[in-house]
Amino acid sequence: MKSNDNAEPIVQATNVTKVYKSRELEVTALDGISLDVEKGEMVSVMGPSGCGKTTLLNCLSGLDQIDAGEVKIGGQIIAELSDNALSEYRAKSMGFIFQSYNLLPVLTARENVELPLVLTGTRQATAQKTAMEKLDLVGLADQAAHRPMELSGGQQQRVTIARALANDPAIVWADEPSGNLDSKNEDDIMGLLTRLNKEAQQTFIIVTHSDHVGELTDRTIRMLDGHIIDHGNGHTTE
Amino acid sequence: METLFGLQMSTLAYIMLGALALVLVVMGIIAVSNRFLIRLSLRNLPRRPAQTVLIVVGLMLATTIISASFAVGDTITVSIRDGVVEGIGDTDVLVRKPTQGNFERPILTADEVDGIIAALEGETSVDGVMPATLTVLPVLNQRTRLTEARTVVRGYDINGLYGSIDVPTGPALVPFSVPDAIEGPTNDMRNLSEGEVFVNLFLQREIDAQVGDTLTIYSPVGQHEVTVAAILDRGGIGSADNRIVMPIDQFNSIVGAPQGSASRVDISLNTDTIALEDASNNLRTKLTNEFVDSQALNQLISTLASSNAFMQTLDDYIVAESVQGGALNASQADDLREIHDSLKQGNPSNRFVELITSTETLGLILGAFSDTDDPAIFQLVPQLTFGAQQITELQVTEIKVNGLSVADAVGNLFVTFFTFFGSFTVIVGLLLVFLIFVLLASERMHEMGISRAVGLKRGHLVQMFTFEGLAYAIGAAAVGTIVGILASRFLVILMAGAFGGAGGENFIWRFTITQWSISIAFALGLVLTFLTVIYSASRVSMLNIVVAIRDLPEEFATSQNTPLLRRLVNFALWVVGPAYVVFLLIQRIRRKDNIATGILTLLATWLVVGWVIAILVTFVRIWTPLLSQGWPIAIIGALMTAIPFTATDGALARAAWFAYLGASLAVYGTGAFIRWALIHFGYPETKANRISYTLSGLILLLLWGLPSRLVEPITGELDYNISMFILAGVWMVASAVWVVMYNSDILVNAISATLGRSTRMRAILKPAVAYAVNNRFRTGLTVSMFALVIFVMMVFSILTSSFSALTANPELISGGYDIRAEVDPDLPIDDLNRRISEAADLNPADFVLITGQSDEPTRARQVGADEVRLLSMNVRGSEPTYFRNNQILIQAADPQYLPAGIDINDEPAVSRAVWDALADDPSLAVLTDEHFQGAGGQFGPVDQGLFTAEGYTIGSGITFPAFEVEFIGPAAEATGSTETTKRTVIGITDANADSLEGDAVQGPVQGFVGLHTRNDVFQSLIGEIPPFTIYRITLSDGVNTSETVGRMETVFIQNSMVAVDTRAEINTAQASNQQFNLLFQGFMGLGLVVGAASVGVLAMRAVNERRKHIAIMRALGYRASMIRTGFIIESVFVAAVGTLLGVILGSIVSWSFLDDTSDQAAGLAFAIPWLNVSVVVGITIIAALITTYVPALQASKIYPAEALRFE
Repeated sequence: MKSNDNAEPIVQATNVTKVYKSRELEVTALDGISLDVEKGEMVSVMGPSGCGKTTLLNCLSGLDQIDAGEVKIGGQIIAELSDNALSEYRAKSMGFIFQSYNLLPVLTARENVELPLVLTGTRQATAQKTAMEKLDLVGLADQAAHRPMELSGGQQQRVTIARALANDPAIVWADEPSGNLDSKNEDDIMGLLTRLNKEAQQTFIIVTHSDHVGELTDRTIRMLDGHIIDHGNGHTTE
Repeated sequence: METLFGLQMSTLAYIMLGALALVLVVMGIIAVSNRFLIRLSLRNLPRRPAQTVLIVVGLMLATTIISASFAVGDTITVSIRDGVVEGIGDTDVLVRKPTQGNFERPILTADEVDGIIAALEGETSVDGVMPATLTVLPVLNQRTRLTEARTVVRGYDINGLYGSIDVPTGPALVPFSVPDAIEGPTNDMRNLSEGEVFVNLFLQREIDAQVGDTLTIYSPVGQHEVTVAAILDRGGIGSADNRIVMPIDQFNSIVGAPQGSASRVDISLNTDTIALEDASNNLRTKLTNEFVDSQALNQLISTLASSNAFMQTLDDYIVAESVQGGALNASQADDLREIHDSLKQGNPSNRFVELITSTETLGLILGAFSDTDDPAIFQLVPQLTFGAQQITELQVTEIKVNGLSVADAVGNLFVTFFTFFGSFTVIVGLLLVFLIFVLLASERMHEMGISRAVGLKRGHLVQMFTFEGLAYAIGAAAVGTIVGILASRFLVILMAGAFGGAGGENFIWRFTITQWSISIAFALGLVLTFLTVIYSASRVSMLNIVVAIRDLPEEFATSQNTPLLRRLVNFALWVVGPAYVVFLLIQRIRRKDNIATGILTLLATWLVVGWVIAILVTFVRIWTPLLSQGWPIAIIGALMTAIPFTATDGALARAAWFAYLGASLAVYGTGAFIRWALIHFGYPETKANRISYTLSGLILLLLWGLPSRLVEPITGELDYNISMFILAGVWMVASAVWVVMYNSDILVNAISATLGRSTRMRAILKPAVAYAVNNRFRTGLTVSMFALVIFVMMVFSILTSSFSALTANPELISGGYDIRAEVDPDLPIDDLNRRISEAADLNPADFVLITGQSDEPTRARQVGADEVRLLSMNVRGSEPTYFRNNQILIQAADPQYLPAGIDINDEPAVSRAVWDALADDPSLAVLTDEHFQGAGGQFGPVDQGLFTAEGYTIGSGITFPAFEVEFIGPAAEATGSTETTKRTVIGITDANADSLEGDAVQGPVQGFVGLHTRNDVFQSLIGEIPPFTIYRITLSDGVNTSETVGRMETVFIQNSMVAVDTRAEINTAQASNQQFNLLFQGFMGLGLVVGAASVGVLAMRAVNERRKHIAIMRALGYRASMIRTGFIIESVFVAAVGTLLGVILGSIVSWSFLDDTSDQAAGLAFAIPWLNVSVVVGITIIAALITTYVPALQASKIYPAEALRFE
């Protein structure tokens, strides 16, 4: 655990509540959740289906709006950021890895990785060079000109990781990064993520079903019915 | 409109409604037998109301175009018909003396008038008889000093006008209609005092007449002053020209005609317009026979019947040409047989008289002798044509029937024009229908895959889609018909603007659409949409279940070919046809499975069409795997290409469209073969596609884009027609889209390199353009839609603009003269120069050159040609000074008559030399191009009675061998003379020459058509040199032409002078052309709505399809505005590529066309109207922006977590 008592947590959530409303139904997905994640930490979030893991990740990363409470990233309350400012923040400081890869099918692997770089105003030549470096980092430099459908699931997930790391973000959010992969590919991907975490001191917050993935992280937050029941650091919430 | 494509509108409507009923009944029965399916399919309609609305809008456009075309046609037809009825009034049949000599018509004596009235004894269909007379004279309003050189002065028999004439034992007569007096105490002619007249509304406007004004009428026998008693409204005897009406006795006094005489007897029939044709035809037959000159008839019969050569040749001709495919249809063969038999028996029937006096039948008889060299027959021809004229003492004309049929013909011409060009938009509309269903299928691919997986058959999917499509189509056809009617109202307003000048202010546009047109538009739109839906549905149903369920790309679907044996069996079974269906039906009955479908299949099969189609489809399917290898298509194409070059006669001989179509298939097939071969030998499919489609696309573009000047040296001469235009458009657009879509990476890189300089813009551009070019099929389809519409608009616009270039060279039309002045042949000017010098209002110093011309109608033939008939040709005799100064160009000349050393390609020099030759040598002549084969192109005038020279086709070169033409005046011919005048034709005028010249009395613009030679010609033609009737005048620099024109008309009012400022006339004509171009663009603009709707549909679909992609882009840091901009760029990109292709291809085809026609019509400079093009392109892009904006906005509002939650 890379906790530093003097430094402010990179992610701070206080009493976060998220309610999904439809015409006839109201579901409380997150019910007054509070948690901190320190800079450089690799945290996994686990729990049964429907417990609110992905919603937590979306709310903490600013992909979704919360109904009550407060989320601070790097000391900044994200609800106070405009949509544009939040977009810019995501482009510069966050990376996302999703279970079904979500690469843009019409772009090549390299172009997919280039996108966050282009968004943050990186010059074309630099962007191309960086994208190739990131692909090399995930072992796919030789597949750079391939489109997603020409790659295997594991390869596509590596491209997603390369894309998530393109701007060297402070935080990488991963939602079931190995959910669609076999065990060998899962090991490879997790090996890659833990190596990057150690080498670059980037913060990883990983939502997963897999106990094996959980074991590879610094701590595991456990959720049930929209509550955190175990912070993984000795604190337990009833 | 009464007919379309040769079918009665009502018949066409019944056919279309029958087809529609069949569709509805078939679908209804299937629906009843399978309610579950219909519930499933119709449930989709309310699921996305916005999408349903967009689909209906998309589907309705084909119907809109059809209904707009019909409404325009109906409006034109009805407006002209009303104009005809208004102009003719109650008169249905006219009885006059036949024309003689210089097209003059002798008047009817009082006895002859009485004879005509007596001949109507017992005619129950007649309800009005009125002797009347008319002439055209100049009129001056003394109060206002305003003049009208061409006033129609009419005299009516009072008793006839008011129904009180005495017809022996005839029916009760009713008065002819007299319009109300809009000014003055009465409209009753019986109340007019001596010297009082009525003036109609139109003349009142021209000369600002009021009741009580004194008018001076200048007649050949002197000046007469009359007083305006009342101003009559339009209609009836008020009619639509500038008119003075008065009692016939007063008229006869003014023109010096004997009292009791008339120029015609107007007869009104008591039938409605439906029975009018029969009633007037019966009356014509009766009266024609009544007034036969028995002596002339017997002489003609004896002359013809005594010629064995004539009788034998006629008999042989009837026998030879009555067979299938012969020159005569059944009715024509019957007519000729009647003539032959009557001559043989020496006992002429009424029908014989009617036939022998009809121009059409006379043409048929002469056609029988066109190939003979027999001198006996050659001598007989003038006797026949002259003798036939002599038979009838009185000419009976079905004036209203003839007028109405002209109205229908003009209406049909417009419908043909609009439906022809509208067919592009209809094609585009149907492409949109197809696209919509492809997108719908793609959206529902997953659920359809599951449906198939749980046991739904392919046929069920087709039925589901068809039901849904039919529901959309019914709504769309209904809305489309209404929108088409509304659109046509707007078009009619534009058209009134475009033709206001040409049609005259007196023409009233009456917006109309008949029930038949509405029925046909609705049914045709619905049936076309329905057929497209069925095709789309069958394509959709061929989905791969696994690919559909797992949302895999189409590339993963492996196509399965039905085994050859199965395909052969299918074909064989369908050949057996009905028996096979009965077998299927029995099977169904045994299985108790969907018997209704079986019965209906049986019905459809018995309808033969379905059977034949099934046979064809199964036959093609046998070869499908081979066809995909390309080489069979290439062979078929090559064989098709050879047909026009090997066939010696028939429709396909030298047919350019067929040769080009064959060559295109050959190129396409070869491309497909290269693709197949490359893939077969392990080349990557993407690269093989690129190579083959790029190669064949480029060759096809070259093939269709080259002007015939470059093609014909290789192919020999080909016959081009208007269908080439449609084919060129479709093939060139398809080829260009292939080339672009299969080389899209180059395009993407180019765009990124040029527009994506800012990193933010690059981030937006890259995926936006990549999405567009990766969805090759749907993007290609949408690009094609834009390209097709813009292509047609460009061609029309460039051609209009190129013709407008003539305004820079008015001398090519006017010959370089500032003024063209015409005077009444009966009121000639003895010496114009002297009269100008004497006129106080005119300054002789203003006039640099005055030269005179006059015209005579003749009948002509080419010496030594196959055609032996004498056919119509005008002769224009001019002073030598006319030729010396004339700047009209000569498009082809005989080099033998040109000075030595002249460059034959130097058109101005050749023209100058030809005109100088005419000025010097009275035996030489120049013919206008209308007298040659190939003049006027597809929409050119077709006048069967016009003399046509042989041995040269317009456009085939700039030289031709001079030939002699011999001609005879009607007066000489009337005396039975066979003595002709001869001239040697050494040149052919440019197509623009004198093209804006009008006819003598306010007629339509038609241009001079005939022979130019020196006016010495009249000495031998009519025995004297007549006074000039046309003057060409050049003014000094700085003299105001329009003021001079006005002053000349006033000074020479007694000569009924009409003078024209030639430059202003050209400008007006060009303005009218531009207005028509606007009208056309408005009409074609409906096609752009299709394009805009299609990008809207695409964008809406893309938003649904890419929700997750949008979410991930947002997660990566894309702002909402960037997502929105990306979508808009994507649509604009598609619209812009399509528009650009349309602009480029339209320009190429226009250039090619102008290159081909520039030899015949000088001054047609290829000019792209950039302003016009920019407006069209701008509107297209804005329309695309508008339809994309809402989906783009939706896309930008997608909240990332929401979209990702459903992954």
